[in-house]
Amino acid sequence: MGSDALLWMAAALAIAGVAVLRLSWERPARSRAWNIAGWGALLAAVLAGDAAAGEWGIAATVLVIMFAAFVVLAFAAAKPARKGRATKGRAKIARTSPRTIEETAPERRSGLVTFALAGPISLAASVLLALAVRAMVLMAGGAEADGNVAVLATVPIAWPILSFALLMMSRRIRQCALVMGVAAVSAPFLLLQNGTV
Amino acid sequence: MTIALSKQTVRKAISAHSALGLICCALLYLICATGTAIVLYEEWQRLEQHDAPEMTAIAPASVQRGIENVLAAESDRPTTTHLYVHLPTRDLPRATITTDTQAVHIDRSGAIAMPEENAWAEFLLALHYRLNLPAVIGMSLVGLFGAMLVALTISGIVAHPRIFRDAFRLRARRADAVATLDWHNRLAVWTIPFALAIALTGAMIGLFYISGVGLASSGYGGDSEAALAPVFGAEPEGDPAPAPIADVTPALAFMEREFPQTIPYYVILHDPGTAGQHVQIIAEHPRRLIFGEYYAFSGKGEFRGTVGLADGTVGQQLAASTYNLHFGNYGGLPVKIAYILFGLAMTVVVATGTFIWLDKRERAARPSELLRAAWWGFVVGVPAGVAATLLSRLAMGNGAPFVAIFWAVCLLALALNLLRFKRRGGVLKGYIRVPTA
Repeated sequence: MGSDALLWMAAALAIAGVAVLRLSWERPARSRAWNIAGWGALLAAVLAGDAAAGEWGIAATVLVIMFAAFVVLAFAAAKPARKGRATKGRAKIARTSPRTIEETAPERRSGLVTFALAGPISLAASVLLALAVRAMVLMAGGAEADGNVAVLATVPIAWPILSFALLMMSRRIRQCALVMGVAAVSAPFLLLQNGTV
Repeated sequence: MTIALSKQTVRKAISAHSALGLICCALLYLICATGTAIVLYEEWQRLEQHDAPEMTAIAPASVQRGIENVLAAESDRPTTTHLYVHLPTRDLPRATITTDTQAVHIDRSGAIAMPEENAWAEFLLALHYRLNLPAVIGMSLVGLFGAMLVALTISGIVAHPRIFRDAFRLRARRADAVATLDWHNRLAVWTIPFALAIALTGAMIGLFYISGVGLASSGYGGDSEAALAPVFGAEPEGDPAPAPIADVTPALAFMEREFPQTIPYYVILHDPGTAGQHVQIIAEHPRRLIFGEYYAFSGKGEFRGTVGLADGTVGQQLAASTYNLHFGNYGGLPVKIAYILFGLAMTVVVATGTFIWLDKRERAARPSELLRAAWWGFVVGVPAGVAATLLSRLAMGNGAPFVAIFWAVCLLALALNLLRFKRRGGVLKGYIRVPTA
C-alpha cells in the first residue's frame, strides 16, 4: 500500500476511533468492548501514520484525532442547556474539585520555601539528573550527540514531574528528601562527563 | 472510564494544579496567544511587505548574482562573516539575502530589489520566544513556562478522575461556572498531545541557556558551541587570506542532480571572500519533522557531506525535529490551521483556568472581583495589543515602536477594566458569574 493510501487510512481510523469513543462514553453503562474498539482504532491510526511517514505521519494523525474530537465538542457546545440542572451542575463541581479555597490548602506552609523547592532547586536537581542520563548513555556506548540531546530533552521532562511530585507531598521533610535524593544520586555522574567523551 | 485515584490524591493534584496555574497564568497566556499568532510567521511577512518580488523558484546563477551584488553594495564596510540566502519556498516565495548588517530582497535576475521590512513579524516572534527581553533571560523564562505547562498538564490529568468519561461533555450554553469548567477541561483534555508536544519542544529550546550551559560547563569547559557540535556540526577552521567570492552555482546544481527529492531553502556562505570560505545548503526533506539537513560544500562547490540531521543518530534527528513540531511548519496550510485552532484552545484553557480559580473563591465567600476585572483586562489586552501593533505597522510602517505600543495597550485594557469595575461600585456585571448559594 502506498504511503498516501496509508495516510488516508490513518485519518479514517482516527475519525472512526473518536466516533466510537463518543458513542461508548455516552452509554449509561461502561462497555469494555466499545472502549477497546475506540482505543484500538486510535492506536491503529497512529500505527498506520507511522507506517506511512514515520514521525511525520504520527504527528499528522494525532492532529486529525484532535480535530475530530473538536468537531464532536462543537456539536456538544451547540446543544441547548437543559433547564433546572443548575443544582446538579454545582454538585458535579463539588465532586471533582474542592469546594473551598481552604480545602485546596489544608496546611499552612511557607509558600516561598515551596516555590524554591519546586522551582529553582528542582530545576538544578533536574539538570544534574539530565547530566547523569548523558553519562549513562555514553557509558552504554551511545553516540555523543545522543548523550548531549538527552540532556536537553531530560530537563523539560524531569523538572515538571519533580515539581508536581513535590507539590503533591504534604510534609516538607519528604519534599526535601525527594529533591535532595535526586540530586545526590545524580551528582556523582558529574565526574564522568569529561571522561566519557 | 475513570482513573482510580483517592479523593485525597485528586484534591492534592487540584491544589498543585491551582498553585502552578496561578503562578504561570499571565505569562503563559501571553506565550500561548502570541504562539498562536506566530504560526503564520511567513504569511505575516508577506502581508507586511506585499510588494516584495515573489517567485516560485530562482535560478542558481541569479542567486550567485544576488550574493555578488549584496557584497558589492557592502564594499564600504568590513565583509560580513556570514551571508544567508533564503530561497523561495511555498510559504514564503521570496529570495532574501541577509548579512551581518542588512537584509534585502532580490528579484529573479539577482538584482537587489528592496530592503526586507518585516519588523512586526520579528516583534511578534520575539514577544513569543523571549518576551522582548534579552535572549538569555527571555528564552529561559519562556522555557521555564513551557516546562510548567508540562507540569500543569500532568497535574490536570491527575486532578480529573472522570477525564475520559466526561471527555465529550461540554455544557457551553449554560453560561455559568459549569460552562467555564467544561470549556477548560474539555479543551485541555483533547489538546493534551498538542500541549505536551508544544510545551516539551518549547521548553527544550527555551531552557537551552540552562541545560545547555550545564552540559557545556560539565563536559566542554564552558564551550556551548562545542557541546552542540556533535548534534548540528562544527564550524570548520577558517583561513582569513583573501580569495574570490565563492560560487554557489555548482553546489545548487549538485543538490538538484544528486538530491532531487529534497527542497533547498537556505544557502549559507561562511566567511565570504576568504580562503577558508565554505557553503552550506539547508534542504527540506518532505514528510519529515526535521527542519532540514545541512549539506556542506567547499568554496569551489565540492560536496563535503551532511551533518546527519536526516539520517544520523536518534538524538540528532530528535533535536532537528523540535523546531517544526513546535512551530507547526511541517505540513503546509492544513497543519498551520490545526496549530492555530489548538493554540487558540490552549489560550482559552489558560484564561478559563484562572476564572475557575476566581469562581472557587467566590463559592468560598471570598470573592476577588478586583482580580477578576484585572484578569479580564489582561485577557482582552493581549490580543488587543497584538492587533494594535499590527495596525501600527500598516499605518506607521516598519519603524513603529511595537514593544511600547503592545505593552501600552495591555496596560490600558487592564486599567479600563479596573475603572469599569470601580464605576460599577465593585459589582461585576456582564462577566462569567457563578450561581450564588
